[in-house]
Amino acid sequence: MNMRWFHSELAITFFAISAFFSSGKIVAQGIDSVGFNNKYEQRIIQFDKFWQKLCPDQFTLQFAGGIGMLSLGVGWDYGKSNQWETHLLVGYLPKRYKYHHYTTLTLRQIYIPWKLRFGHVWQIRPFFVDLSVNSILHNDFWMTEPDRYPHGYYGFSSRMRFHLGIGQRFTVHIPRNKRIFSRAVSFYYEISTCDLYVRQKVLNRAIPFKDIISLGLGVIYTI
Amino acid sequence: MLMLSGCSLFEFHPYSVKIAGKTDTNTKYAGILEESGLELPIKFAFITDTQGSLDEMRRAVYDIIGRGDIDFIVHGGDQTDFGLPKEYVWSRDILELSGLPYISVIGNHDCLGNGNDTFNDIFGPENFSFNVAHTHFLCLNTIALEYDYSRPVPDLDFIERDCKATNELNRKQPGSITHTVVIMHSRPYDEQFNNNVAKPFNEYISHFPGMKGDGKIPSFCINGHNHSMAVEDIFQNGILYYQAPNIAKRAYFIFTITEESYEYEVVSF
Repeated sequence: MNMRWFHSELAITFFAISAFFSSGKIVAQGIDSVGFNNKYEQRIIQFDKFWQKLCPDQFTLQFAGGIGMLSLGVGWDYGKSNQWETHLLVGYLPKRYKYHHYTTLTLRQIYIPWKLRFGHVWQIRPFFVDLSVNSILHNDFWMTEPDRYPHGYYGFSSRMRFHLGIGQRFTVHIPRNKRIFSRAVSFYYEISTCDLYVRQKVLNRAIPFKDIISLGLGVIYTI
Repeated sequence: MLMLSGCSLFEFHPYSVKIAGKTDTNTKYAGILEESGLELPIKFAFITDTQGSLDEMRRAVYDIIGRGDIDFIVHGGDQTDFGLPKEYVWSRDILELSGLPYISVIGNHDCLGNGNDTFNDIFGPENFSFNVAHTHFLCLNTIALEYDYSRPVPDLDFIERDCKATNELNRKQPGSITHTVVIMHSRPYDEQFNNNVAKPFNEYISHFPGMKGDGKIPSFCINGHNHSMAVEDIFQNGILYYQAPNIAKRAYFIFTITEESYEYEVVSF
């Protein structure tokens, strides 16, 4: 059971990476066939567009925030005003105390209701909310209880954590002539909590609020 | 980044948290108790299965402080619900509130995720023993199911070594240990226990000082795990297993060990 989930987690990562790399090749094929077959061309253009959409627009680096010490990932923005974003991050947890090193995988959905633009350069997203599903890729953590337990013994997954976060994002738009890697660089902070903390806080009022929240800092390159 | 890591708000992961405060408490407090020079009769409180009921545990600890006659606290395991480091810290800090020495065995919930490692960091060893006031306290890890029986749980070698050492102490200085209290989370014939060795376990335990005799024997076992109160002579050999309810049921045990025997009471709060 464990291995199957591990494989599906790897498959998601592989899918994202292969989508990114394969999109370039298909564009090249489309150019080769210019002027030969209109229907074929249109089909290829449609095909390109499909892969273009799968090609990520953002690269994210996050420090802390409950999903890893450092998390590196790709992101897609979409919606009428790009109010929706989906990010896929691979995180790293260093060896601490007697624990192992851990790799984590996070799928994050972000909703950004407002954007405020100040001149050509500055943009502020005064509020965003995100929901992340995080998974520690290690056999000590299971998605569903191993068979040795009676059915429903613990009734939770130690591997999958749900994090709910809110934050703010500050963007610097880079003028056309000065762009090197990206057209915009954003900095954000995020305050989040996870499902198990919320449960314990609801059951025990005395738990200090600061104990159940985590602060994360991040940078996003938009290409 | 090092500076940022130092701030507790920057949590890396719920299962990888910087642990502040006391660590290895079992070793520290067992040492303090051994050095304490306490004499019989001694009184200790047995609370168990916190499992996230921190408010009730705090009430229990205040109740224990209020009595003023308790020498130390024994926790029967399941400090946490999910084995999270923060849960361990919350639970430990409540035990610290008592100002009394406390020791804890490991429970099955404490093992979830990497919780076993966190237990070793905060509470210390899983199998250990100490002597205080002519009483031998044997604290054992008995949650074999958590390791899928891949580890020697209960560790019969450890128990044998400890038994030999304790009896050796009695041989050198007769009467130095007259009682034995065995502390465990799950007891024989629970689903967590390695029931293939339930009888050998009983055999080993019965060789400790004070485990044999006519009438009420002066030694006993205590456990938690089953969230209900029970007093049972599991092996029909006079060794009683006292099972305390989980702390959410607002009850705990107090044991008073006297020269000849012992007494127990159930405290509801």
